[in-house]
Amino acid sequence: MNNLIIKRSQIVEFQFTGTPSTLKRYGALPNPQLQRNNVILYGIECFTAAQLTATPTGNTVIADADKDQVVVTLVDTNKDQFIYNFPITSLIRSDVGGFVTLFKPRLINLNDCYVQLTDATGVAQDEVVAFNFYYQLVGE
Amino acid sequence: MAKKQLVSPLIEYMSSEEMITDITSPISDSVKQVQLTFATSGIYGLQIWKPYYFNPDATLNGSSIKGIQALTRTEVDPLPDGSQTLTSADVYAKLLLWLVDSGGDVVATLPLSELIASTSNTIGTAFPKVQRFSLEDIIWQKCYVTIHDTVGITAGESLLFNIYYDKEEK
Repeated sequence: MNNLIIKRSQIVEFQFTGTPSTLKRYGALPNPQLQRNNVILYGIECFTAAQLTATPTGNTVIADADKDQVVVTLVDTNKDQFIYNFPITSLIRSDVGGFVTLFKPRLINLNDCYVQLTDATGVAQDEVVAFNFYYQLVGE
Repeated sequence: MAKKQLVSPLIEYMSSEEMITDITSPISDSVKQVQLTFATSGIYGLQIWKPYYFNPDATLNGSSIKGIQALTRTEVDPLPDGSQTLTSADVYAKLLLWLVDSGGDVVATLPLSELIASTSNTIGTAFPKVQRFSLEDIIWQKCYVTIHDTVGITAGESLLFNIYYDKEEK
């Protein structure tokens, strides 16, 4: 059984700005280090308040009870939605036996990634879903 | 005839790039304990978003960091100096560990809740619950911990880490 080795990691936040709504795509907050399109992503993990109560930018992370209401879409630099509407519950380590979700390494296009709510009940305005992106840089 | 193990090219690639490892594989050739103790005032006084820097560590600087594990009262109580770790495992979700390299870049940021030996990895109880890393250029005194909510943390309580490392080859 294989599991993750961390080479680099960054916390990425997707914030529910405005009144949380099920029909809206919520993009990632600015993250200069990950927006250069030279990031080879190979693993991802999601945090709710059970793992991280607030992010480094001071935003409140969504309650653990709301984790089944969020899906995430990840897009690479070829505009390929290689993870589409993936439930974040499957990305929370404690919910999947301690494993971090790994995938074929690829160049991530953070600007095009987004999360959506399948149900906005209980989710407060400006709360965030936080992910840890595990990656290496091109040429490393 | 000896059995040949089949390994997918993707697994082989990710293993050779040190992105993944078999959870049963050896972690490192050495391990060291590092402690941070919170105080009522001064550089370790409790305050939100303040960086609590680690002490310089000549052993860890220049070594290859292979794993980090946060210890709680489940693993050791009290600590060798008589203090205790934070009261509750829930409190670790209020702390972040920042790992910084010699160039001043933050290489990794992790909630301490993900590093707790007793809860972060639940993969089979027979395996060491250690988050693996592959970090070559970490300068220990540049690394720090932040707290974003001090409720539940008391002055005098400590953070204790097991740092798994391979010594620098001279």
